[in-house]
Amino acid sequence: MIQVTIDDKTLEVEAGTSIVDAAKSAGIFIPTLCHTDFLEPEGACRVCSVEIEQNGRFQVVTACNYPIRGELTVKTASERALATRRTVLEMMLARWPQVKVVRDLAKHLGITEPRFAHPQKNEDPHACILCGLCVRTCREGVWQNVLGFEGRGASRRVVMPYDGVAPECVGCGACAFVCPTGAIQMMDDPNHPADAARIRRAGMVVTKEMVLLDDDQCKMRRAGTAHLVEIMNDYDLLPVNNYRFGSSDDAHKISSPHFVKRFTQNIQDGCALGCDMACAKGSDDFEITTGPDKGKRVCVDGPEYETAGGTTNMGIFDPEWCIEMNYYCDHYGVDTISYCTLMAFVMECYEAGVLNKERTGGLELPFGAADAAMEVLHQMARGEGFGLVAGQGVRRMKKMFVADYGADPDFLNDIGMESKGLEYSEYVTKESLAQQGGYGIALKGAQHDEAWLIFMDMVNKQIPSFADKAEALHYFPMWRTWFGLMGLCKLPWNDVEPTDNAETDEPAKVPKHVAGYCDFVAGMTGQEVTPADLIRMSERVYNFQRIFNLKMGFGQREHDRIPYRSAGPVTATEYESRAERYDKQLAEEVDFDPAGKSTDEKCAALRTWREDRYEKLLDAVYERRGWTANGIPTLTTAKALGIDKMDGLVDLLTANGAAQ
Amino acid sequence: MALTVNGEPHPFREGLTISALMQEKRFSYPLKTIFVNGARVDRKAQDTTLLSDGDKVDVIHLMSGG
Repeated sequence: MIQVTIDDKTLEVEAGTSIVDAAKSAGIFIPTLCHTDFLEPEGACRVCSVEIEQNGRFQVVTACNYPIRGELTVKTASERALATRRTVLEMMLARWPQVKVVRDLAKHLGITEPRFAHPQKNEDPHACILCGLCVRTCREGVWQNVLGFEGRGASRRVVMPYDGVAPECVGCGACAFVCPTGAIQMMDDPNHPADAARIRRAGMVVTKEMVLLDDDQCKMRRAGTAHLVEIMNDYDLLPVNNYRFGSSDDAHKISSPHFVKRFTQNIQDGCALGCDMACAKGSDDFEITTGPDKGKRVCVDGPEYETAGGTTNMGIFDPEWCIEMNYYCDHYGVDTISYCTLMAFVMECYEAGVLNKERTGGLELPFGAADAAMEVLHQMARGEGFGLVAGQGVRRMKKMFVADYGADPDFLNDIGMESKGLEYSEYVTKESLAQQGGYGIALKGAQHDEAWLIFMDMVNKQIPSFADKAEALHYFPMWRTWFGLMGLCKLPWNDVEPTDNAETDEPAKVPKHVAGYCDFVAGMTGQEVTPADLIRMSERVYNFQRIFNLKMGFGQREHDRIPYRSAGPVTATEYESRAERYDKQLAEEVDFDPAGKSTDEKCAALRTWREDRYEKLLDAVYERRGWTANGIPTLTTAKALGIDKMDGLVDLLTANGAAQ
Repeated sequence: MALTVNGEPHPFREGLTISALMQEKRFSYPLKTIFVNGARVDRKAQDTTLLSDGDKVDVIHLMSGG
């Protein structure tokens, strides 16, 4: 700690503290103009000039960017300090006499008329005073860097590159927000919203949070979703070897630092005007080692968490391999999640003897077989060899392996991680019943983007009863559907959260952000809406989609079934790897004494209990949603939502026992 | 000698801070809010806040992700 005397107060501060911050902590006011807490201090405007005495020498310095490194005496209102400040303000007042912030600061220093006349006097009350807050906010706060200064001296101006309109500008409005004079104004949107200012105010809440909070929260700008690899491993949720396990001692080899050091872009994805999340990540100058682009240096978009989690799911812990797989999936138009999950299934089939070299065209495909797995991806793209089999996905492979190789259908159904024909995304759901429902009931198939409830359910224990889980499995799928209805991204909803979110009644819903979305709708349409109105919008669409699924042969209870691997341990190896957890559950919750029982017996008892709970969960969710026990929206529900007038809908529901 | 952490018992020891408890539980997710006996503990105080035997600790992980 260093002793510093500011005016008549002596205090101790940490080395490196700026004079402005030290003064603030002592309750001493130093005027500032270009200084703000969330940017590196610049000392551009010199309004914060103070006089310091150090080692017998006197000096006028800018208080905002002068770090205290040794014992120091500061005089904030000495003659020299005030004379400097007055001269600065006089010059500003001479040039921009009508700008309020300049007039206020001048008045504070007792200046009414400047001594000088400025050749470029500007009477505009909203003139740019070149404080640079917009330039620094764009660069340091929003990470966009499209504003800069042009020219020197009196001809200095704030411009975008080449004095044009930079297409990289995301229109977040942060520059207009920090501008102290109103020199930067947002243009009205060509979509002619009812109240553009209201939309901007709502958007600015998230823009500010990203700037101020993201580094401490989800690091969406620095690491993106890749930061989840090590976190999921810690919580036993990272899929390893086709979801057998939720963590691995090798996970550190593919944790986010390996990706972050490669990421070079960290820019806005360009999908939404105004967003400053900078979620786009690229691995630039990456050298490809296989396939048609071998030897080329390319830019790879990503990887995201799911791609890394899918890699561990194949028992591969090599970030370079993951990036190359990411590249070829993008290149070939293959979804990384589906590829990873189907390959994990193939590998388990290989290890179980369902597949062998003869059946894979000579490829050895146990877990961890990185080179062979990449070759299957190339074969899928070329439409040849084993790629023709694997490329059909888990659901069809199960049928083929039973029909062609006489494989045990029960085993394949247990380990084939798909629902409604879609491969699972990369989370281990065994310990979260609500999340099992989140995957199983999802309309599009096994995706977590309708509801990601694992923390609420498994870790926080916030939704213990079936009714609690059913409520969560109603609200969150409806809420997330709403983003789809609006064409909005959900990341700004809960990948950055207000600092006081935990104090709200329902933190998981992030109520302040939901209110912001209501402002967005009202600002766009001119109609006031409540959070309940937004959910209602989704309920109409969601129920219609479910009925559409029914029409297409996917909308009943049987289609919401899940592979047992997502609900519990299929094999003895899995059980034994978490034996303490499962034994405890059997003893405490299943009323089954595990002592002296074989692993197979314990597996069977656990399975009966877990499968029964899943059925009870379906009952609770269907009831909450106004569906029949077979998972079909009733006519009453359709009428209440106003979707019963569709052609053929009444007949379809009647034919499926949902006429009530 | 035990704490209750999210409804489950966890061994207590003298000198246990909230941050140390988070490490023991492997609660590494950053977006979480911690309550001790119902009172929220500021993020900055988690390194220095000592727990007492019998404390009820609620670690509320907020959702994020795709």
